[in-house]
Amino acid sequence: MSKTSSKEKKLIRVPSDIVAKLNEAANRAGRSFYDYTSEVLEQALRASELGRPLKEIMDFFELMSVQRNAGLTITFSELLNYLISMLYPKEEKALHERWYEAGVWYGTYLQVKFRNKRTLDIFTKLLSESWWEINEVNLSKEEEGFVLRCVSFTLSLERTKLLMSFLEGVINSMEYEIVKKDCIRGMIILNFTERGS
Amino acid sequence: MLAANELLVNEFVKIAERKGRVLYDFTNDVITQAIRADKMGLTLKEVLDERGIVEEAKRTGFILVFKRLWYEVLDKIYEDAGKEWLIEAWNEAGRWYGKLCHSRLPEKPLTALKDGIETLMWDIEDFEISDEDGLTLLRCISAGFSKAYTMLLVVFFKGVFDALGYDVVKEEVSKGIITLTFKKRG
Repeated sequence: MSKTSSKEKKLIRVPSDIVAKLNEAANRAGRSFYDYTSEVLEQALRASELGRPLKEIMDFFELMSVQRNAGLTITFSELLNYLISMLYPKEEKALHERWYEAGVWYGTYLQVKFRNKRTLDIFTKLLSESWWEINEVNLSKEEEGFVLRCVSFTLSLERTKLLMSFLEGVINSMEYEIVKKDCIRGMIILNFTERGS
Repeated sequence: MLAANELLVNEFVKIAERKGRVLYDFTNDVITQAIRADKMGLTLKEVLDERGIVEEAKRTGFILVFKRLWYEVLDKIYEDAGKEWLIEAWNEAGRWYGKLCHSRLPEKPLTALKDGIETLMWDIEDFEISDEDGLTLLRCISAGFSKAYTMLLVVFFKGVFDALGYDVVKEEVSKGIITLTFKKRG
Protein backbone atom coordinates (compact mmCIF):
# COMPACT_ATOMS: atom_id res chain seq x y z
CA MET A 1 0.00 0.00 0.00
CA SER A 2 1.37 3.38 -0.95
CA LYS A 3 0.02 4.75 2.29
CA THR A 4 2.85 2.98 4.13
CA SER A 5 5.81 4.47 2.28
CA SER A 6 6.92 6.53 5.31
CA LYS A 7 9.76 5.09 7.40
CA GLU A 8 8.70 6.95 10.53
CA LYS A 9 7.01 5.06 13.34
CA LYS A 10 4.20 6.21 15.55
CA LEU A 11 2.86 4.71 18.76
CA ILE A 12 -0.72 3.73 19.52
CA ARG A 13 -1.91 2.99 23.03
CA VAL A 14 -3.53 -0.44 23.46
CA PRO A 15 -4.01 -2.74 26.48
CA SER A 16 -1.01 -4.94 27.25
CA ASP A 17 -3.00 -8.20 27.03
CA ILE A 18 -4.07 -7.32 23.48
CA VAL A 19 -0.46 -6.52 22.56
CA ALA A 20 0.59 -9.90 23.97
CA LYS A 21 -2.03 -11.74 21.91
CA LEU A 22 -1.08 -9.83 18.78
CA ASN A 23 2.56 -10.69 19.42
CA GLU A 24 1.66 -14.38 19.69
CA ALA A 25 -0.24 -14.17 16.40
CA ALA A 26 2.77 -12.46 14.73
CA ASN A 27 5.07 -15.20 16.03
CA ARG A 28 2.76 -17.92 14.76
CA ALA A 29 2.76 -16.27 11.33
CA GLY A 30 6.58 -16.01 11.45
CA ARG A 31 6.35 -12.23 10.99
CA SER A 32 7.91 -9.34 12.89
CA PHE A 33 5.54 -7.63 15.32
CA TYR A 34 5.92 -4.34 13.46
CA ASP A 35 5.05 -5.87 10.04
CA TYR A 36 2.16 -7.83 11.44
CA THR A 37 0.72 -4.78 13.21
CA SER A 38 1.09 -2.71 10.05
CA GLU A 39 -0.79 -5.32 8.03
CA VAL A 40 -3.61 -5.37 10.60
CA LEU A 41 -3.95 -1.60 10.36
CA GLU A 42 -3.77 -1.73 6.54
CA GLN A 43 -6.62 -4.25 6.49
CA ALA A 44 -8.64 -2.05 8.85
CA LEU A 45 -8.18 0.80 6.35
CA ARG A 46 -9.20 -1.53 3.52
CA ALA A 47 -12.34 -2.59 5.41
CA SER A 48 -13.15 1.06 6.00
CA GLU A 49 -12.81 1.74 2.26
CA LEU A 50 -15.31 -1.09 1.69
CA GLY A 51 -17.63 0.66 4.12
CA ARG A 52 -17.85 -2.32 6.45
CA PRO A 53 -16.62 -2.74 10.04
CA LEU A 54 -14.08 -5.52 10.48
CA LYS A 55 -16.35 -7.26 12.98
CA GLU A 56 -19.10 -7.51 10.38
CA ILE A 57 -16.63 -8.93 7.86
CA MET A 58 -15.43 -11.51 10.38
CA ASP A 59 -19.04 -12.39 11.32
CA PHE A 60 -19.85 -12.94 7.66
CA PHE A 61 -16.76 -15.10 7.22
CA GLU A 62 -17.79 -17.29 10.16
CA LEU A 63 -21.31 -17.55 8.80
CA MET A 64 -20.00 -18.70 5.43
CA SER A 65 -17.82 -21.26 7.23
CA VAL A 66 -20.96 -22.64 8.89
CA GLN A 67 -22.59 -22.96 5.46
CA ARG A 68 -19.50 -24.62 3.99
CA ASN A 69 -19.36 -27.13 6.84
CA ALA A 70 -23.08 -27.79 6.49
CA GLY A 71 -22.48 -29.13 2.97
CA LEU A 72 -23.43 -26.14 0.88
CA THR A 73 -21.63 -24.99 -2.21
CA ILE A 74 -21.77 -21.94 -4.46
CA THR A 75 -23.24 -22.24 -7.91
CA PHE A 76 -24.97 -20.35 -10.71
CA SER A 77 -28.50 -19.25 -9.83
CA GLU A 78 -29.82 -19.10 -13.39
CA LEU A 79 -28.56 -22.57 -14.16
CA LEU A 80 -30.22 -24.03 -11.07
CA ASN A 81 -33.47 -22.23 -11.92
CA TYR A 82 -33.43 -23.67 -15.42
CA LEU A 83 -32.54 -27.20 -14.32
CA ILE A 84 -35.30 -27.22 -11.73
CA SER A 85 -37.81 -25.98 -14.31
CA MET A 86 -36.79 -28.90 -16.57
CA LEU A 87 -36.96 -31.50 -13.82
CA TYR A 88 -39.92 -30.26 -11.79
CA PRO A 89 -42.81 -31.37 -14.05
CA LYS A 90 -41.61 -35.01 -13.99
CA GLU A 91 -40.05 -35.22 -10.53
CA GLU A 92 -42.09 -32.81 -8.38
CA LYS A 93 -42.79 -35.22 -5.52
CA ALA A 94 -39.24 -36.60 -5.37
CA LEU A 95 -37.73 -33.10 -5.44
CA HIS A 96 -39.92 -31.93 -2.57
CA GLU A 97 -38.92 -34.98 -0.54
CA ARG A 98 -35.25 -34.33 -1.17
CA TRP A 99 -35.52 -30.62 -0.28
CA TYR A 100 -37.48 -31.47 2.88
CA GLU A 101 -34.85 -34.06 3.88
CA ALA A 102 -32.11 -31.49 3.30
CA GLY A 103 -34.02 -29.10 5.59
CA VAL A 104 -34.29 -31.70 8.33
CA TRP A 105 -30.58 -32.41 8.02
CA TYR A 106 -29.64 -28.73 8.08
CA GLY A 107 -31.88 -27.99 11.09
CA THR A 108 -30.36 -30.91 12.97
CA TYR A 109 -26.85 -29.76 12.05
CA LEU A 110 -27.55 -26.26 13.40
CA GLN A 111 -28.91 -27.66 16.66
CA VAL A 112 -25.84 -29.82 17.14
CA LYS A 113 -23.43 -27.04 16.20
CA PHE A 114 -25.12 -24.30 18.23
CA ARG A 115 -26.17 -26.39 21.20
CA ASN A 116 -27.79 -24.33 23.97
CA LYS A 117 -28.17 -21.32 21.69
CA ARG A 118 -31.29 -19.91 20.06
CA THR A 119 -31.09 -22.02 16.92
CA LEU A 120 -34.18 -20.49 15.35
CA ASP A 121 -32.64 -17.01 15.51
CA ILE A 122 -29.34 -18.32 14.15
CA PHE A 123 -31.22 -20.00 11.30
CA THR A 124 -33.06 -16.76 10.50
CA LYS A 125 -29.75 -14.88 10.42
CA LEU A 126 -28.21 -17.49 8.12
CA LEU A 127 -31.22 -17.26 5.83
CA SER A 128 -31.11 -13.51 5.65
CA GLU A 129 -27.32 -13.17 5.21
CA SER A 130 -26.37 -16.08 3.02
CA TRP A 131 -29.43 -17.32 1.14
CA TRP A 132 -28.69 -14.69 -1.45
CA GLU A 133 -31.79 -15.24 -3.54
CA ILE A 134 -33.98 -14.31 -0.56
CA ASN A 135 -34.31 -10.54 -0.34
CA GLU A 136 -36.23 -10.26 2.92
CA VAL A 137 -36.46 -12.59 5.89
CA ASN A 138 -38.55 -11.84 8.93
CA LEU A 139 -39.24 -14.00 11.97
CA SER A 140 -41.79 -12.68 14.42
CA LYS A 141 -43.22 -14.01 17.65
CA GLU A 142 -46.97 -13.70 17.64
CA GLU A 143 -49.69 -14.67 20.04
CA GLU A 144 -50.14 -18.15 18.67
CA GLY A 145 -46.54 -18.96 17.88
CA PHE A 146 -44.08 -17.76 15.26
CA VAL A 147 -44.37 -16.44 11.73
CA LEU A 148 -41.52 -16.75 9.23
CA ARG A 149 -41.83 -14.62 6.11
CA CYS A 150 -39.43 -14.86 3.16
CA VAL A 151 -39.57 -12.67 0.07
CA SER A 152 -37.54 -13.11 -3.10
CA PHE A 153 -37.66 -11.06 -6.27
CA THR A 154 -35.88 -13.71 -8.35
CA LEU A 155 -37.05 -17.17 -7.30
CA SER A 156 -39.20 -19.10 -9.76
CA LEU A 157 -42.47 -20.63 -8.51
CA GLU A 158 -40.91 -24.10 -8.50
CA ARG A 159 -37.92 -22.97 -6.49
CA THR A 160 -40.13 -21.01 -4.08
CA LYS A 161 -42.12 -24.19 -3.44
CA LEU A 162 -38.93 -26.21 -2.96
CA LEU A 163 -37.59 -23.59 -0.58
CA MET A 164 -40.80 -23.93 1.42
CA SER A 165 -40.27 -27.70 1.69
CA PHE A 166 -36.72 -27.03 2.87
CA LEU A 167 -37.94 -24.51 5.49
CA GLU A 168 -40.59 -26.97 6.68
CA GLY A 169 -37.87 -29.58 7.15
CA VAL A 170 -35.73 -27.18 9.19
CA ILE A 171 -38.64 -26.05 11.38
CA ASN A 172 -39.94 -29.57 11.99
CA SER A 173 -36.45 -30.73 12.99
CA MET A 174 -36.38 -28.04 15.69
CA GLU A 175 -39.32 -29.25 17.79
CA TYR A 176 -41.81 -26.92 16.14
CA GLU A 177 -44.81 -27.80 14.04
CA ILE A 178 -46.21 -25.93 11.07
CA VAL A 179 -49.82 -24.86 11.57
CA LYS A 180 -50.33 -22.82 8.40
CA LYS A 181 -48.40 -22.23 5.23
CA ASP A 182 -48.79 -19.91 2.26
CA CYS A 183 -46.71 -19.81 -0.86
CA ILE A 184 -46.85 -17.81 -4.05
CA ARG A 185 -44.01 -17.12 -6.45
CA GLY A 186 -41.25 -15.37 -4.47
CA MET A 187 -43.10 -15.34 -1.15
CA ILE A 188 -43.41 -17.84 1.69
CA ILE A 189 -45.30 -17.39 4.95
CA LEU A 190 -45.04 -20.14 7.55
CA ASN A 191 -46.89 -20.12 10.88
CA PHE A 192 -45.60 -22.57 13.44
CA THR A 193 -45.79 -23.33 17.15
CA GLU A 194 -43.70 -25.26 19.65
CA ARG A 195 -44.58 -28.93 19.42
CA GLY A 196 -47.03 -30.00 22.11
CA SER A 197 -47.99 -26.43 23.02
CA MET B 1 1.82 0.59 23.22
CA LEU B 2 2.40 -0.64 19.71
CA ALA B 3 4.44 0.96 16.98
CA ALA B 4 3.34 1.18 13.37
CA ASN B 5 4.10 3.15 10.24
CA GLU B 6 3.38 6.81 10.81
CA LEU B 7 1.29 7.38 7.67
CA LEU B 8 -0.71 4.28 8.37
CA VAL B 9 -1.41 5.38 11.92
CA ASN B 10 -2.44 8.83 10.70
CA GLU B 11 -4.95 7.27 8.28
CA PHE B 12 -6.15 5.02 11.05
CA VAL B 13 -6.69 7.98 13.38
CA LYS B 14 -8.69 9.74 10.65
CA ILE B 15 -11.02 6.75 10.30
CA ALA B 16 -11.55 6.55 14.06
CA GLU B 17 -12.40 10.25 14.07
CA ARG B 18 -14.74 9.90 11.10
CA LYS B 19 -16.56 7.11 12.90
CA GLY B 20 -16.70 9.15 16.08
CA ARG B 21 -14.75 6.48 17.94
CA VAL B 22 -12.11 6.86 20.66
CA LEU B 23 -8.81 5.74 19.11
CA TYR B 24 -8.05 3.42 22.02
CA ASP B 25 -11.38 1.55 21.65
CA PHE B 26 -11.22 1.50 17.86
CA THR B 27 -7.70 0.03 17.92
CA ASN B 28 -8.83 -2.57 20.43
CA ASP B 29 -11.73 -3.63 18.21
CA VAL B 30 -9.53 -3.94 15.14
CA ILE B 31 -6.88 -6.00 16.91
CA THR B 32 -9.53 -8.18 18.52
CA GLN B 33 -10.78 -9.07 15.03
CA ALA B 34 -7.21 -9.79 13.87
CA ILE B 35 -6.78 -12.17 16.80
CA ARG B 36 -10.16 -13.76 16.00
CA ALA B 37 -8.96 -14.37 12.43
CA ASP B 38 -5.68 -15.78 13.71
CA LYS B 39 -7.58 -18.28 15.87
CA MET B 40 -9.25 -19.48 12.66
CA GLY B 41 -5.81 -19.92 11.12
CA LEU B 42 -6.16 -16.88 8.88
CA THR B 43 -4.92 -13.33 8.50
CA LEU B 44 -7.24 -10.36 8.12
CA LYS B 45 -5.92 -9.97 4.57
CA GLU B 46 -7.08 -13.49 3.67
CA VAL B 47 -10.50 -12.85 5.22
CA LEU B 48 -10.91 -9.59 3.31
CA ASP B 49 -9.70 -11.14 0.04
CA GLU B 50 -12.27 -13.90 0.38
CA ARG B 51 -14.99 -11.43 1.29
CA GLY B 52 -14.29 -9.51 -1.93
CA ILE B 53 -14.61 -12.62 -4.10
CA VAL B 54 -17.77 -13.82 -2.34
CA GLU B 55 -19.38 -10.36 -2.61
CA GLU B 56 -18.61 -10.34 -6.32
CA ALA B 57 -20.11 -13.83 -6.68
CA LYS B 58 -23.25 -12.69 -4.92
CA ARG B 59 -23.54 -9.63 -7.17
CA THR B 60 -23.02 -11.65 -10.35
CA GLY B 61 -25.74 -14.24 -9.73
CA PHE B 62 -24.19 -17.04 -7.72
CA ILE B 63 -26.13 -18.68 -4.89
CA LEU B 64 -25.61 -21.22 -2.15
CA VAL B 65 -27.09 -24.66 -2.66
CA PHE B 66 -26.77 -28.01 -0.95
CA LYS B 67 -24.06 -29.99 -2.70
CA ARG B 68 -26.05 -33.21 -2.52
CA LEU B 69 -29.12 -31.65 -4.10
CA TRP B 70 -27.08 -29.85 -6.74
CA TYR B 71 -25.26 -33.05 -7.79
CA GLU B 72 -28.51 -35.02 -7.83
CA VAL B 73 -30.24 -32.48 -10.08
CA LEU B 74 -27.24 -32.38 -12.42
CA ASP B 75 -26.92 -36.16 -12.53
CA LYS B 76 -30.58 -36.59 -13.34
CA ILE B 77 -30.58 -34.10 -16.19
CA TYR B 78 -27.22 -35.39 -17.46
CA GLU B 79 -28.47 -38.98 -17.53
CA ASP B 80 -31.78 -38.04 -19.12
CA ALA B 81 -32.43 -35.92 -22.15
CA GLY B 82 -30.63 -32.72 -21.18
CA LYS B 83 -26.98 -33.77 -21.56
CA GLU B 84 -26.14 -31.74 -24.63
CA TRP B 85 -27.92 -28.65 -23.38
CA LEU B 86 -26.17 -28.99 -20.03
CA ILE B 87 -22.74 -29.28 -21.64
CA GLU B 88 -23.38 -26.16 -23.70
CA ALA B 89 -24.68 -24.26 -20.64
CA TRP B 90 -21.59 -25.13 -18.58
CA ASN B 91 -19.25 -24.24 -21.40
CA GLU B 92 -21.00 -20.90 -21.74
CA ALA B 93 -20.83 -20.34 -17.97
CA GLY B 94 -17.09 -21.10 -18.19
CA ARG B 95 -16.56 -18.57 -20.98
CA TRP B 96 -18.45 -15.99 -18.96
CA TYR B 97 -16.38 -16.73 -15.87
CA GLY B 98 -13.15 -16.54 -17.91
CA LYS B 99 -14.13 -13.04 -19.04
CA LEU B 100 -14.95 -12.11 -15.46
CA CYS B 101 -11.48 -13.28 -14.37
CA HIS B 102 -9.92 -11.21 -17.14
CA SER B 103 -11.86 -8.12 -16.10
CA ARG B 104 -10.86 -8.64 -12.46
CA LEU B 105 -7.14 -9.07 -13.10
CA PRO B 106 -6.31 -8.30 -16.76
CA GLU B 107 -2.58 -8.89 -16.16
CA LYS B 108 -3.04 -12.18 -14.30
CA PRO B 109 -6.42 -13.72 -15.18
CA LEU B 110 -5.22 -17.20 -14.19
CA THR B 111 -4.47 -15.92 -10.68
CA ALA B 112 -7.99 -14.49 -10.55
CA LEU B 113 -9.29 -17.88 -11.71
CA LYS B 114 -7.34 -19.78 -9.05
CA ASP B 115 -8.43 -17.38 -6.28
CA GLY B 116 -12.03 -17.52 -7.45
CA ILE B 117 -12.21 -21.30 -7.75
CA GLU B 118 -10.51 -21.86 -4.39
CA THR B 119 -12.85 -19.40 -2.69
CA LEU B 120 -16.13 -20.25 -4.38
CA MET B 121 -15.96 -23.94 -5.20
CA TRP B 122 -16.00 -25.31 -1.70
CA ASP B 123 -16.32 -28.85 -2.95
CA ILE B 124 -12.89 -28.86 -4.64
CA GLU B 125 -10.16 -30.39 -2.47
CA ASP B 126 -7.15 -29.65 -4.63
CA PHE B 127 -6.89 -27.05 -7.38
CA GLU B 128 -3.67 -26.11 -9.10
CA ILE B 129 -2.69 -24.14 -12.18
CA SER B 130 0.96 -24.35 -13.20
CA ASP B 131 3.22 -23.64 -16.18
CA GLU B 132 5.34 -26.37 -17.72
CA ASP B 133 7.37 -26.14 -20.95
CA GLY B 134 5.26 -23.34 -22.35
CA LEU B 135 2.02 -25.14 -21.52
CA THR B 136 -0.46 -24.44 -18.74
CA LEU B 137 -1.59 -27.36 -16.58
CA LEU B 138 -4.81 -27.40 -14.58
CA ARG B 139 -5.39 -30.01 -11.89
CA CYS B 140 -8.68 -30.27 -10.03
CA ILE B 141 -9.46 -33.04 -7.55
CA SER B 142 -12.41 -33.86 -5.34
CA ALA B 143 -13.40 -37.28 -4.06
CA GLY B 144 -17.02 -36.11 -3.76
CA PHE B 145 -17.66 -35.31 -7.43
CA SER B 146 -20.15 -37.41 -9.33
CA LYS B 147 -19.20 -38.55 -12.83
CA ALA B 148 -21.62 -36.06 -14.40
CA TYR B 149 -20.31 -33.18 -12.27
CA THR B 150 -16.72 -34.06 -13.20
CA MET B 151 -17.58 -33.99 -16.92
CA LEU B 152 -19.43 -30.67 -16.54
CA LEU B 153 -16.50 -29.09 -14.70
CA VAL B 154 -14.22 -30.17 -17.55
CA VAL B 155 -16.36 -28.28 -20.08
CA PHE B 156 -16.59 -25.35 -17.65
CA PHE B 157 -12.78 -25.10 -17.42
CA LYS B 158 -12.45 -25.47 -21.19
CA GLY B 159 -14.87 -22.55 -21.53
CA VAL B 160 -12.85 -20.45 -19.07
CA PHE B 161 -9.57 -21.10 -20.89
CA ASP B 162 -11.16 -20.59 -24.30
CA ALA B 163 -12.28 -17.12 -23.18
CA LEU B 164 -8.75 -16.41 -21.98
CA GLY B 165 -7.23 -17.40 -25.35
CA TYR B 166 -6.09 -20.98 -24.69
CA ASP B 167 -6.72 -24.24 -26.56
CA VAL B 168 -6.86 -27.56 -24.79
CA VAL B 169 -4.10 -29.89 -26.02
CA LYS B 170 -4.48 -32.81 -23.61
CA GLU B 171 -7.04 -34.02 -21.13
CA GLU B 172 -7.05 -36.80 -18.58
CA VAL B 173 -10.35 -37.15 -16.79
CA SER B 174 -11.75 -39.70 -14.38
CA LYS B 175 -14.47 -39.37 -11.74
CA GLY B 176 -13.28 -36.69 -9.30
CA ILE B 177 -9.93 -36.08 -11.03
CA ILE B 178 -9.39 -33.58 -13.83
CA THR B 179 -6.06 -32.84 -15.50
CA LEU B 180 -6.15 -30.49 -18.46
CA THR B 181 -3.26 -29.09 -20.49
CA PHE B 182 -3.68 -25.83 -22.40
CA LYS B 183 -1.61 -23.92 -24.95
CA LYS B 184 -1.92 -20.17 -25.43
CA ARG B 185 -3.24 -19.33 -28.89
CA GLY B 186 -0.97 -17.40 -31.25
